[in-house]
Amino acid sequence: MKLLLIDDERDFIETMEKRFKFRKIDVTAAGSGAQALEILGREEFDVAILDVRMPGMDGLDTLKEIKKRHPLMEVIMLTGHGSVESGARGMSLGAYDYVLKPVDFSVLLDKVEMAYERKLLNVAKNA
Amino acid sequence: MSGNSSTSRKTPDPVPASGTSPPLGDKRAVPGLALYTVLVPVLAGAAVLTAAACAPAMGVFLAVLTLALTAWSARRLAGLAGRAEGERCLLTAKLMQSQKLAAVGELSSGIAHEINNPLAIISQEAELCGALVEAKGAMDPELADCLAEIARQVARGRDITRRLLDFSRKMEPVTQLESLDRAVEDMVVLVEKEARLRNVNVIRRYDPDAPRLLIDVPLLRQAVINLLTNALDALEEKDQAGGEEAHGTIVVSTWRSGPGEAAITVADDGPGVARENLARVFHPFFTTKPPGKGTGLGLSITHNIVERMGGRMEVVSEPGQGAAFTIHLPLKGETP
Repeated sequence: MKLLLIDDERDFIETMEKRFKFRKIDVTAAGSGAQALEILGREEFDVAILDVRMPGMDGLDTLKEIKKRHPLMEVIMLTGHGSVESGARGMSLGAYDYVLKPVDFSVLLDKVEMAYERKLLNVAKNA
Repeated sequence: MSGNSSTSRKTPDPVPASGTSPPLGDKRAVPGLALYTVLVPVLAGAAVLTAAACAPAMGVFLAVLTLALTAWSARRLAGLAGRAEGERCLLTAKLMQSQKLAAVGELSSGIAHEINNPLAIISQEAELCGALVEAKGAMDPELADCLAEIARQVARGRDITRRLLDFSRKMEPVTQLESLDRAVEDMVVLVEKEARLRNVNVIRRYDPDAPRLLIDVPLLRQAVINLLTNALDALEEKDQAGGEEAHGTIVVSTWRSGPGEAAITVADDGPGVARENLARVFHPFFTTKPPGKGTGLGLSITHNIVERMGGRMEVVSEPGQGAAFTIHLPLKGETP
């Protein structure tokens, strides 16, 4: 499984990277929505973890672009502030889940795996 | 523990919003029919023949007996016919509701397609207009403001057309085995935080033996967050009407709604749905919210999602006492 982490908080990215690598998951980090789209243009990923609040292109705009260009990649949204409107929008834009920070790592890992399973099911269906 | 919220709100006429046929008892009437069409006439005939051959007192007794028997039989038959008619009416109403929703959905997606093109042209022309004015060095803040407003309103229009197209898109659900409360919980957590700020209490009543179902997890989450948003909005309405002591409660429960079904109910104690609106709540663009507050697509999208997953939706509401929206899902993926 190839995982893309998109968050502007360096500390968060670093810890997450370490923990996913420890679980032998191939993880790449992007510091912004624009950078994520650039990486996605070169490489294919299965699941992305995307922070909602980022300077510049925010999480929802990034999600919209991702779903337009890579509809089969699953995206789990992370948010620090639970906004219902943003959650409803994110889910309607095709997010896999909308999770409130701080999230327990094992719970997140579980969600990533479920999202990956869905991606595989979707790929098989579209093959 | 489960299902209290929905049963406590039972009103005489829950409005079914799906075309899936419920298990109706019309077949049960058939075996009884032989009793009324064969046995009762034979008995009556036998009584008449016997009366002709015996004493007048016995004849009177047999006549009274025959009268009672035929009256009872006629009454039962009339009851059966009435029940069958009632069931037929219910089925017809369900079918009509389902067809109406499908037709409205088709119509709105057609309109969305048509409106997308002019929207694209408006936004391109506005952009070009800005560039032209800028090139002439004549851009002033007020004009820039006007152009930005045009772009904002176009984006708003696009958002509506996108949701409409989503609404009618017939994408096949991708199903995974997941327990209902796990699929629902993240949306509840998300809403809970904002609800607390609005003085709204969110209560969970999850079925501890919740089955694992084959469901399209993100689609179901979308349906649930739409119901939660709707409940929050309803409570806000009550807040505005009720002044300071108002504070609301949202109860989210998962329960077994039938032998082959599991359900999620989102109930609020807001103003409820007016009786005359109950049948229309799932129609696209139907809204009681003030202009600009809602497009009236949330519930129709939710209804559409649930139907695509093979489920059905139901709303129960007593005006002034809140509303309970229930998603029923088939247990086809249950693990032993």
